[in-house]
Parts: sequence; structure tokens; C-alpha cells
Amino acid sequence: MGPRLRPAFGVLSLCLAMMAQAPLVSADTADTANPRRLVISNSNTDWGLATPYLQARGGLGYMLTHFVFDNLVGQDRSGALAPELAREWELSDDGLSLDIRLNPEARWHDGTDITSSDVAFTFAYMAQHPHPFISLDNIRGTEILSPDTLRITLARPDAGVLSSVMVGMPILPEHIYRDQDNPRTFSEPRAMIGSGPYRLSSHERAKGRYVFSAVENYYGGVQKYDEVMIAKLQPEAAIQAAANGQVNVISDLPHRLVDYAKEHDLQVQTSPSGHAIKLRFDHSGPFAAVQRRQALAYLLDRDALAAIAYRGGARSASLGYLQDNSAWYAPDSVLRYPHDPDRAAALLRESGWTRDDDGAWQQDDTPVTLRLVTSGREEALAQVIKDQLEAFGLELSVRVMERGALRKQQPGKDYDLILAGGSTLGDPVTILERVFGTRWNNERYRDDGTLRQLAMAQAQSLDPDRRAALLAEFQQLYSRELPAIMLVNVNRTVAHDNGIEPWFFDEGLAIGIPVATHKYMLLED
Amino acid sequence: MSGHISPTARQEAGAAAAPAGVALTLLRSLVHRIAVFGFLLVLMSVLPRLLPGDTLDVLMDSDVQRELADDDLHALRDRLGFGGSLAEQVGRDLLRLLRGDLGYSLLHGAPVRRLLAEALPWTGLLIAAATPVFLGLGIMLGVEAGRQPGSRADRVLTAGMSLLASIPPFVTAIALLLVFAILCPVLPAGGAEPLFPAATPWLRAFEIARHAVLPALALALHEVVRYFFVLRGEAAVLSHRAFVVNARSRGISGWRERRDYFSRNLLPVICARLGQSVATLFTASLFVEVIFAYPGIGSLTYQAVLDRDYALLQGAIAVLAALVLSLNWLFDALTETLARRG
Repeated sequence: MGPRLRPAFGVLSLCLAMMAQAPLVSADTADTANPRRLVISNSNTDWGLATPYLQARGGLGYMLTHFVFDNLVGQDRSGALAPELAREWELSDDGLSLDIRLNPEARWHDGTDITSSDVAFTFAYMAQHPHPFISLDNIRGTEILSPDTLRITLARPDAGVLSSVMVGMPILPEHIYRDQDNPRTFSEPRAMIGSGPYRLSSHERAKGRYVFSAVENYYGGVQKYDEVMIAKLQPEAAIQAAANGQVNVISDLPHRLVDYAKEHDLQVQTSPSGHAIKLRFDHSGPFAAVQRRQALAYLLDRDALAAIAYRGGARSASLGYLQDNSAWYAPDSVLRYPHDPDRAAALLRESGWTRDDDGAWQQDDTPVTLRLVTSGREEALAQVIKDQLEAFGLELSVRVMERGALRKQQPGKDYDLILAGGSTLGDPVTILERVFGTRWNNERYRDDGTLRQLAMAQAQSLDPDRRAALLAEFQQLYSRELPAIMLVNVNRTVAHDNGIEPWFFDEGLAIGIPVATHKYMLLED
Repeated sequence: MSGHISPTARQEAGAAAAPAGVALTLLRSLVHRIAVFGFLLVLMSVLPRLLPGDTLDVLMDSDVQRELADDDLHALRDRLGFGGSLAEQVGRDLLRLLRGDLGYSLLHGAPVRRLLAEALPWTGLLIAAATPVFLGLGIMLGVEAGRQPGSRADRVLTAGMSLLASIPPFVTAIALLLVFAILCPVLPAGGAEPLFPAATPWLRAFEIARHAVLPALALALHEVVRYFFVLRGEAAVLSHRAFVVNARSRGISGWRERRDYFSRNLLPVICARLGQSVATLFTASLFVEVIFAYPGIGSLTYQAVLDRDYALLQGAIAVLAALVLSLNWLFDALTETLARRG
């Protein structure tokens, strides 16, 4: 090194030394100055904007919209239905009309009164501009009875009208949205005028950072925090930041970091997500035969799947569709399918498959090779399934693809088995679409027999006891027919400091979103 | 794009060509680049649409909503601007881009122009911070190794660089992260700024610089190997040239020899190489940004592919391609001029 370079290196080493000395976050800007600020971290990327049409797909985007836009019906601490924009409601005896009385105190963030006209407008607007999470097929119309009262008429009785539509649909301000032909390109600040406890006051998209501020005179209660910040941070960095008092809640703690978080004096809460990872079938292919679906249920060791692929971050799922988070879960009526390869072999023989001398399964003397497709997220699970099937003599080819391509895979043409997560939360009226619907992520079950009748009957049954009995019967039959095999129920974990207590609702937030960082956590009891 | 030509060859070619010829060459290469740019725009409009699925599938992904009827789906597609045949869609894209409108990202709910304006400065910062590092190290080590081929310094440096070259760049990045941010946490593990940016501009700039150190270093290491080998080779050739041998016999050595006799003569090669580096740096910033959770154009583009966000993808590629091609042209012009001066 020449003598002229020495000073430059000196300066460089000084800089490096200074950098090493600097704390991870500068202390003078830390959170201690503002006790009414809550910082929530999440490792996800952009969640979109907090409006019903600009929120990112998925439950987290919905959760942010839920900070800003109130729905007609909300939830109390236990998750039960509670008044929100609607102060009270009454369903007619025939279940075909629902009268709603709005809270007269409720105001839009710009001070305008919220009236039944806004509610009627929202029903009409959402019918024209569909929202992915809200199905309005059964809504026949709305009738404004007074500025604060409204009648909603239904085409058929709907047991879930309150616990799916009313609790899930954000109400839009008519005076803002009535001129918007394309709400997906309406991203002005006006688009975010809602009725909820918080408004979005800043959003730095590139950094994935949101700041919500409390709305003055919120009709629904008192906010615990003046400011709620949501910041994108990798979980490891978030734990460090929480240990320094800069992050209060880590909303998506991976299972592998639970111990690490506890070592940093964080409290950890875990809840089964109710988003089961399902093995779905091409119902017109080899798995049209119920014995083969049952054989797979006996064959796959679900406890081992959860232990190996999720390292304890999941538990084996119930095979009756509904999981143990659901109030309608009927454990006694569900068949359990304990791991039993002999039983599986007997069922496969019964279905017409045979086994050659090496133990490999054949149909009409040609070896059986099953095709499974999945996305990267479930790759580890697919590998363990492959190992279990191949140890039993069933050849399985696994194709892992990105989600966009997975959505376009055709049953029969592209796969015999598809492995993907799917929610079982939300009111059980959703069973009709999730089990019998034809979207790529529905189970596409074609049977027109008792199972479908039970699903329809429970969806229209207004008597809770009767509905519980129908759903118990449904779960039993589901576990017998297995339109899909629910393999594992993956856990969701939240970590937090002592100053706040987030909680999971058993059946999820609103339409069934397994998050603990909902707006109810931000309100005083 | 001019490849790597030895400075001697360039010198001779430069001396022979008339000044008008050079201008014509530059003009021609500019026209070539504009044609490449146009082709890229078409390609980036067509290719994402050939991927399975489209933006609407992502926007309407749901398992509780009934599948929309074909008519409704068509109407929604038209309203969101995805209607018509592939040719119509591509035509619409190109007309829009010609008007200077980068379009609107439905998934981010924001104009593409704004999304890119938020992300580009961060990627720019990483590249700007990495460039002096890989240039400085590349030149210094390359000259050191090449000025006396076969010497002890050459053997050690070349062996070290070969080792570095054999490690995939994302592994180097993860290793940096592991060593300097996790095992021995002297630098931040991710992001571009602390959670609560400092109030004073100087302190804030310092924090931004600290956050840029590891990703910029990862980016620089990706490039330094290439420069080292090219410059070592060139320096080795120079070390046998008469003017160097002559200078050494006159007792010129040390810093002056390295600077005036080697580095100065390597400038055209460095410039030619820089033209290509611009493109590789933008590509490499993709994995660096993902690994260091750095907010930049790489992670934005990657997500756009997964989301089938056509407008954003096309806008990002258009802006990047324009940047890369014009910088590349600029470096070529510079190389040409330097080679001519000899």
C-alpha cells in the first residue's frame, strides 16, 4: 500500500469502528417518549391500502381495512357477534328479512352522518363490484325504512347472514363512492374515509410501513393508542427490536422462533389457524372411488406429517371438515382413521388395485403413479407424503409450482391430488362453496347425495340446536366420504410485550381470519 | 454492446478511424439500443401474459365467493383494462408507454410511476455504494496480481479470488448477513433504516449508510471477482510491454508505477466492463434486496411477477432497461474516446 493511501484507510477504519459502536436503533428516537403508540411488526410485504378494494389479497389486508372501515356487526372479546354500526338487528321468523337499526352516533371520518342509505348503497355497490370475501348471492334487496333503519331481504333463509355477510362486509360512504366506476383505481386519500376507530395517516410502501391514527370521537369506544404503527420486519430483527422496547407485538412469529422470543422476555400465544392443509382430489380420476380416499386417510400418518414437516408448528387435523376451533365442531361424530397400512391395503384391493411381488400397487397390471401438485409453501409436507406413500408401494410424482400456475392446474388433466391450504373458519354456510364450489381452491366435490343436502340444510337452519345436529351429521358423513383429507391444522403465533394482550378469536376475525392483532385489541374494554 | 477488447487493439483501431466514423459508430449503436429497447417493451408486455393466470385471478382469489359468470368476468376484465386479445392488450400497453404513462398497479393501488419512484432510489443507493468498492478493490488487486505474473502476490490473490468466484453470490450475501448481523451483530440485519428514523438529517444519513453497508458489500463482492480477473489479465499483458519494462529499468516503481503505468492504461477496459456491469448489478440487486429485506426495485419486480402485475412489471423493466441501455451506451462512448486517445 502506498503512503498516500494510508490516511484514506485510516478514515475508513474509523468509520467502520463508529458503525460498530452505533446501537441497532438510535435510542433518542425510541418509543419510550410516546406511551400511547403501539408498534406491530409483520414480515410480509405490501398489504395494499386500507380500503375494501385496495387491500392486498389475503386476511392481513382485510385486517387493515377493518381498522378503518367498520362493519354492521362486530365481535366481542369472546368472538360472539356484537353491535358495531348496527346497534340492533332482528331476523324475521321466516328468515327472509333482517331489520337493522344503525347506531345514531356513528359518523364517517369526515364528520358526515352514517345513514341507512349508505348501507343500502354498499349492498348495491358490492353486488356490482364484487369483493372476494363477501358473497351477496342470497341478498334480494334492501329497503330504507328511515335514516337509521333498514330492511334487508333474502332470497332464502340463511343461517349465516349475520355471521358471514353482516360481520364481514365493510360499509362504504355513499357520498364518496357513488361516483366511482372503478374502485380498484380509486386510491385518493378520500377513498380511505371510513367509520372505524383508526384512519391511515401515512404509508411508506417501499418499506412496508403503515401509521394509523386514532379517530376523534369514535362512536364505538375509546382507542387505547393514539398511533398504531405496522412495520415490515423480519421476525429475528423484530425480536431484537422488541427486546429494545421498540416493537410491542410480532404478529407472525414463526414456530421455530418461539423459544428465542421467550428468551427475550416476550409472551407468546399460539392458536390453531383453522386453515387446514388439505389433500384435494380429482374427483373424476382414480380417487372417484371412496375406498381409495379412505385408504389414503388410513395410510397417511398425520401426526408424523405435522411433526416432520412442521416440526411441531401444526397438529393433525380433524377429518370431518370443521376443526376444533369451530363452535360447531363435533368430535364424537367424526371418524378418526388411525394410521393403519393394512386397512389401507385392504381398501385399495377392494377398489380394484393389486400389489405386485415387490409390494408396488398396480391397476390392470400397470403400475399406479399418482400426480400431486402443490406450491412452494407446502413443499416439505409434499415430500413427507411422498415418502409415506412410496414406503407403501404407491408411486407419487410431485410438482411444485408458484401459486399463479397452481391456480390454473386442471383436475384430471394436470393432477390426481392437489395439496394446498384452505380455511375452515367463518360461518359454516361457507361449506357450500368450499366443498362443492368449482373454483380452483374449492374441493369440487361432485356428489349430489346426502352430504350436499346436509350442507344446504344447515346453511338454512335458523334453529341453532337443529343446525348443530345437522352439522354433526355433516361432519360424520364428510369423514366417511372424504371430499378432501384435512391433513394438518397449522398454528399461528403472536409474540408481545407485557403492555398489551392480543388475542385470537377461536373462529377467527370477522369472516374467519386467524389474526390476533385486530382492531378490538386496540379499544378499551 | 462492445465486448472486451484489449487496449492495444483498441488503440490501433482508434488511430485508424476518422472522427466522423466514430460519431457514426456511436449513432449506430444508439439506434441499436433504441431498437433493443422497443423489442424489450413488446417482450415484457407479451411474456407475463403467457404465464398461467392473470391479475384478475389474484385480485379475486377467494374460496367463498362463487365463480363469476363469464359475462361478469368479461365485464370486469374490460373495466380493469385486461379485455381483448393478446395483440390488443399489447397494443394498448405500448400506446400507453409511448404517451409516457407507466400505468397503474391494481395490486398496490398506486400508479406505477410512484411505486418506482419510491423504490428506485434505494436500489440506486446500493449500486452507488457498491461501485467504488468493487472498482477500487478490482483495480487494486487486479493490478497488484498482474504487474508481476507468477509472483507470490499474484498466486495468493488469484487463489483467493478463484475461491470467492466459486461461491455463489447469494451464499456470500447470506454469509455476510450471518457473520456481521447475527453472530457478531455490528451491522443491521435488514431494512434500509431503523424502525424510528432519527430526527436530525446527519444522523439519519448515517443510519441509512449503516444499513446499506452489508447489502452494498454483497453486491460489490459479486462484481469484484469479474474485475479482478479481467484486469489481472490486462495488467499481465502490460507488464511485458516495452514502456513498462523501460520505466522499471529507470527505477519507477511503487504507487507511481501502479497508477501511471498500469491503472491509466486499463481505463478503457474498465469503462467497457462498466457498461456491462450496470445490467448485472441491477440483476444482482434482486437477490441482495430479498436477502437483506431491502426496499428496492428488485423485490418490487419479483413480487410483480408472482402477482401477475403486468403494468408494474412492464414499467419496472422499461425504466431499468432505459437506464441500463443508456448507461451502457455512455460507457461505450467513453471507451471509444479513451481508446482513441490511447
